[in-house]
Amino acid sequence: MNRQAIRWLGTVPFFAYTAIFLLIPTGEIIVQAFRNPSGRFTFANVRGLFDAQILDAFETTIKISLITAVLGGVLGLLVAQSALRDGGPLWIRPVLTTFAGVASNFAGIPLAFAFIATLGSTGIVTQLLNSLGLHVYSHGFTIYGMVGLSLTYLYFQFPLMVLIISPALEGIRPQWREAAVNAGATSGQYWRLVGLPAILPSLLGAMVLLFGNAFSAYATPYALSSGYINIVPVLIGEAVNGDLAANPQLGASLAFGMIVVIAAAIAVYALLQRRAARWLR
Amino acid sequence: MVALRTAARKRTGTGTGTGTRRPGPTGRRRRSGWSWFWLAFAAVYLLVPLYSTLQFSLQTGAHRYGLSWYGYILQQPAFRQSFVLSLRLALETVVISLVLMIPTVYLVHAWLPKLRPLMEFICTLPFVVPPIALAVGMIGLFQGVPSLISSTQILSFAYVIQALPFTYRSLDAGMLSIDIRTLNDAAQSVGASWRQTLWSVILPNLRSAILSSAFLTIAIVLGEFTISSLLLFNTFAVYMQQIGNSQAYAAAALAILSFFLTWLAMLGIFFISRRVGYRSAVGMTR
Amino acid sequence: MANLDIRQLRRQFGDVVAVDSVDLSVGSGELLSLLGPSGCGKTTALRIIAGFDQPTSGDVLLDGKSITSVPANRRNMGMVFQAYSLFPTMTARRNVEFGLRVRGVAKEARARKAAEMLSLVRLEHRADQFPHQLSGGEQQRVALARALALEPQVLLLDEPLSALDAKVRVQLRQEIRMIQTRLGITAIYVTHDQEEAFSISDRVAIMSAGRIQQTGRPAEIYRSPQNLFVAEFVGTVNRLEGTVADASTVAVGPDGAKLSVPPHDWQAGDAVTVLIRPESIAVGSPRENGSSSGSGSGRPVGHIRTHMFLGAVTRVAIEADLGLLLADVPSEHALALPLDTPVTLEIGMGGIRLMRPEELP
Repeated sequence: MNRQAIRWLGTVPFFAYTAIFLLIPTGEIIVQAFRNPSGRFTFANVRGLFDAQILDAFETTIKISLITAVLGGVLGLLVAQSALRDGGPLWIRPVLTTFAGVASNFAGIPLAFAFIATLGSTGIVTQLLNSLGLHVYSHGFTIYGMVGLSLTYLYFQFPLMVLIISPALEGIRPQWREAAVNAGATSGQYWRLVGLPAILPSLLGAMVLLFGNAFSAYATPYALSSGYINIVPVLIGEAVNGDLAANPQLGASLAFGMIVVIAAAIAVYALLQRRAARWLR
Repeated sequence: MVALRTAARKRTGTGTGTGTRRPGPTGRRRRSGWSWFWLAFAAVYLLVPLYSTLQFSLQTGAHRYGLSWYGYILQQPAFRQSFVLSLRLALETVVISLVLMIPTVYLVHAWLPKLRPLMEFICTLPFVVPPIALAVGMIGLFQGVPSLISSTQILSFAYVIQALPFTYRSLDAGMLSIDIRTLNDAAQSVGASWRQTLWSVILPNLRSAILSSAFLTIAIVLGEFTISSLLLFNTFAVYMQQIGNSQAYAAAALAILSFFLTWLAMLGIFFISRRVGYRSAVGMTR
Repeated sequence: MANLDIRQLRRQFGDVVAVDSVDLSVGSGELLSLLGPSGCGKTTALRIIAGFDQPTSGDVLLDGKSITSVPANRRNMGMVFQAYSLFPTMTARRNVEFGLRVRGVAKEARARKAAEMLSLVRLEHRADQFPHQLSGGEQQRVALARALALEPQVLLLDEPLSALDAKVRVQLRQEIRMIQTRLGITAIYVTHDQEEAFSISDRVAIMSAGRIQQTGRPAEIYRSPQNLFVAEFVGTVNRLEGTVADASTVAVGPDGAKLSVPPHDWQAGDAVTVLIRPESIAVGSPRENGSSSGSGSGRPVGHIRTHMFLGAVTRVAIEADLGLLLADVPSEHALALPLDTPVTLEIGMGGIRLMRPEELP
């Protein structure tokens, strides 16, 4: 056997592993989504996705994902740009990067607790607001609702944005700004006509990534909003562990639905990324 | 070999600026008021929930504060079991990941560049198939293999997949920054086998990338909840969730402990990757 | 058109003094080059003039009025950067229109002016390309057009050709000079390339370590460098260390070979540096009976060691009793002087300069 063939063989473990633990399970989802309890092909499960409660779950999850993607995106951009400037202590950049990494990993159960401690009915900030006369809970706000969950999601969304968009911001040549200023532009004109257009593809792509991130979240809404609002991943968990009415195939079709939504988002991302690479060469 | 190692270490930079060197600030605008505002906003947003949790965790009674909840938690056998389990899984995941990925990424970079797009695609797939969906698929697939599905082993197998994008990106970036082709050719010209090359030349240059991805994987696994809760295992995060249902204050203490661990891992990554100069410290447990 | 004055300009970064008491005047319509090695402060000075940096002390005056406190986007100076300055998301045309657009100029007027500028730099046919589709030279031409579109009072160029290929550089520097003269625009040109500065400038200011070493017309500087740094930075020069023997002789080299020098007022015994331009050394082959074929004095003084073919002229290295000398000979003459040939040297008095031996600034 010649050497090149041996090298090809050397990659087999990786492909075998990902086949067994990634590709085939994914295929399994798709297969199960179209199979009824007796094993025959059916559209019934997919049709079941259009049931009122499930549609509501998709709608809520997509809404929260969109809102936190856009808000997190804008916020992350502003914070990243602020950290990138010269002047001020040198430690701002590394501290922010480290913290952003922590924040995006802190998500899940601990984050849910943290926000309950902050904005729950007896949370620190809630009490602060009460003392200022803003009784948010009596006005219908709750940490377990859509607004509360969105605020919690933002905790890991905008740091993630900071991490993703920083390379693109660093790719902005200082000469662009100087040339713009030299030609008479104000800071605002520079951003509107030169800066933002240059990073727009990366920006949009990053927001799409944020969307996928929020859409896939399980631990945070599980700990925070179970039983209060419908989130698709949580629904899947309930389907698997038997809490939902007897339809085990539902979990698979829900998972299938998730994959479709996210795949669409990623496809958009890949497209935008290619355009961004062209300009920032 | 030492000469090969050091000679091939390329400097990576961020690539801004012109070729001329200027001393001191390059005349970029100084921070405006808005910059400070947004940084302050970020600081507040990120720190307040931590502070609230900390405050909760220190409440031992009406207006009394102390560390008793921490002591309580640390003494729970369930805490120790779940933490040790998660830690063990984390280390297993790291080992499996590296043993699987390093040779593969090396082979692709050195000799099989055509496979690179395929590898990238596969390693980005875990973003499209979120852990919750993956768990469903795995349960369906391995239902008939009770020995696999009821042992914690399945978790580390799944975690390898979950950490795949980050491990790959880390190693890929690491390999890109050292000139694999030249190193390879140089090693072969002195008669080294591919195993010797990998071990003595490539690996030492990848130390940063390996350590970075290891720390990141550990952070991910320690905080992982989705798959372990679905498969009914008692990992650290699952334990935290259970405590949260019954004892809010203890849960707060746990959350602070968990935060500290993640922070240590991130600090580790930061100090390691500073040497090489690229950033890939993005992780997700949701 | 405007004249620019820089008075006692100083820029300090912590302990580092990048620009040290620089005085400069650029007349209306003049092209002055700021020439010096990397790190000498020329770019820093230019950026201060453009408004991207504030001086620690000193003043910048335009037509007699101080503009040091005027923000960069209101100084009405066009700047051409070394590289990467074109806006990537805009075509060449839109890049050139940018300044006019920012100023609120109407669309037709903008388009007209942009077209005019682009034809000035001969790129009308590439107007709708994006920067990444243009070659380096084309990008710089667009950058020039963009800078000129606003009819600025002063044109500032920061090493505009340094990132380009040699051939493009030579061609483009001529174009820049022609445009500058045609428009009669005052210009400051920063470069580290001595040949570039000398070939296109009205005057040159040579900088080193933050200070101006000499200012003057190219020919003047070449003929009469005021210090050792300028002498060695500009063109090639032979440098010999020696001791004054008498009013018309200096002893140079390890063996104290005698060299006739023009009249001077040094004292016998003074240490001195002798500078000789290669074109001032006439190389000839000795004849048996002492007379020569070339213009040498007949006595063999050295041997040819290397040839450097430079086109019309060949620079030969000669190992002589004076030391190792570089001499320029017409290339056809060089054919008769292969390696190791014994040769005679005659050094024209006009090409010898005596200087105090000093450390380079």
